[in-house]
Amino acid sequence: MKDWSYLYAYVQGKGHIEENIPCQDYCNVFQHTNYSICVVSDGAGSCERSDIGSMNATSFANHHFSKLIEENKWHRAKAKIKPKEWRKVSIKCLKAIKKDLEKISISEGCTLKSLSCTLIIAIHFKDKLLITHVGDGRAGYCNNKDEWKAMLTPYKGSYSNETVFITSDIWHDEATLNKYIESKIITEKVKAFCLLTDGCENASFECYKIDEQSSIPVDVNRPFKDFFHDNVSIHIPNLVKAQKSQSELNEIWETFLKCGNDTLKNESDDKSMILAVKIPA
Amino acid sequence: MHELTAISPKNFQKPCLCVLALDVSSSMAGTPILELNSALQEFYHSIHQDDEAAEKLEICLITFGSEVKCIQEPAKVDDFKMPSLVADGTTKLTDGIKLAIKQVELRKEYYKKYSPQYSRPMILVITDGEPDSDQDINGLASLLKNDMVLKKYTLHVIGTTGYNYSKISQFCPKELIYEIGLNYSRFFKWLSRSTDEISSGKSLSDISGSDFMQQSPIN
Repeated sequence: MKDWSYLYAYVQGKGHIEENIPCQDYCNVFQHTNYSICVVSDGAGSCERSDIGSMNATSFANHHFSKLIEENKWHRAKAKIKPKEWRKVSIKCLKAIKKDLEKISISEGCTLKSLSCTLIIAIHFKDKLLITHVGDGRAGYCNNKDEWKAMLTPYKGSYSNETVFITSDIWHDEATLNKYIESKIITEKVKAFCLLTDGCENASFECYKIDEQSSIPVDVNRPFKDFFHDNVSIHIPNLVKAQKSQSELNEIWETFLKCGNDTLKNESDDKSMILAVKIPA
Repeated sequence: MHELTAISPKNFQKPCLCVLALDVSSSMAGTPILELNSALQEFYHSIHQDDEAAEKLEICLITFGSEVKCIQEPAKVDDFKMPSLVADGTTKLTDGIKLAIKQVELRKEYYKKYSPQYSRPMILVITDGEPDSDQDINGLASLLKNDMVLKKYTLHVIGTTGYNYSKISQFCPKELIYEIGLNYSRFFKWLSRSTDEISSGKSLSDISGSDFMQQSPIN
């Protein structure tokens, strides 16, 4: 997408570094003519091949969603996409990704469950964002009034770290799909957006605020403006003006996710985030 | 050096309930109860000094002797003082565990009403003996078996010098029984830094620093 910069990286959490476990997160941005596909995936900590799962799911997501867009000509100017239609086709694509993972499990000689991972897919057009996801990741955007808003609701089970995965048995009936799969279209004018795995949520989102009545934390699910604002408005445009290449930008972003502040540095979970920023002319 | 800056919000920790079901029968009199009281105070102060643990950990205290009592409803360390226990009476051990389970269920209802997520509650039973002969061992065994499958909580029995492994193993799966001798202090020090891992369902023997605990019965 012209005038936009994407910074993306996945890094091992402190816990995985100490225990010598590979990073189970993965993310990528696939830039096509007139649109980009942004994908973030978090491999399940309890599943031994989930790093393979998240990496492959990301690539399969690009394959299926780009095919969908080209077939429907959604990348053409003024293409209209209805929310119901988006929901229907996004579920179809997610199911296809699951099927592809089944094939990987056969070729790798492992179970489908061992590849478990969450998935957030955002398709970025000039005038809209299509988003769909399964799992406990978060995503948000900043409108032209500098207001940061969440663009999906993470699915969290009762216990910490419990969620559903693309590999979970959730694809049979409408009621289950409604519970676990969320698809949305953002038509507000957007100047930045982010997709992240739960390892980045404490650093970048207001998630758990104390409820006065119960004295226990409730999830407000709000991107934290102070985390993003200067980066989006000042630092990243400056990096782009300094003609940093995509790999240099990602390297800077990787370092930032590793140790940008104490919350990021001390996070035990793997961290993955895509930050997309409109660069002023 | 990176050229980016960031300020993160204050996010509170998800609540984590730790129920301690403590044997206060007369066999605990003398050194064991003194050691237990001292270790409980150390545990309390360790949690108090650890901001993260103090914020999320809720402690509930159950005692079982001739009577079973909840002497401390679930609360954060900022909101209660660790009491001193007195040893007396017999060992209504299974009733003590059942009360611990009831406390877990009540607190989970509360969490579910307000909180999107909480850590899996943990129950730690500390005993130097065996249940009274009139205690319903079979009923408890069946209850625990069912609850473990449903991952309703984690439960471990920590046997101290004199505990009856063969009786305990009639209601509690063997892999959840550990022996610590008279190492109350070491156990609670270890517990104060291991609650996250216990709550995650990890085997105690896989948690760092647990080498002083054994999974074999006292001879």
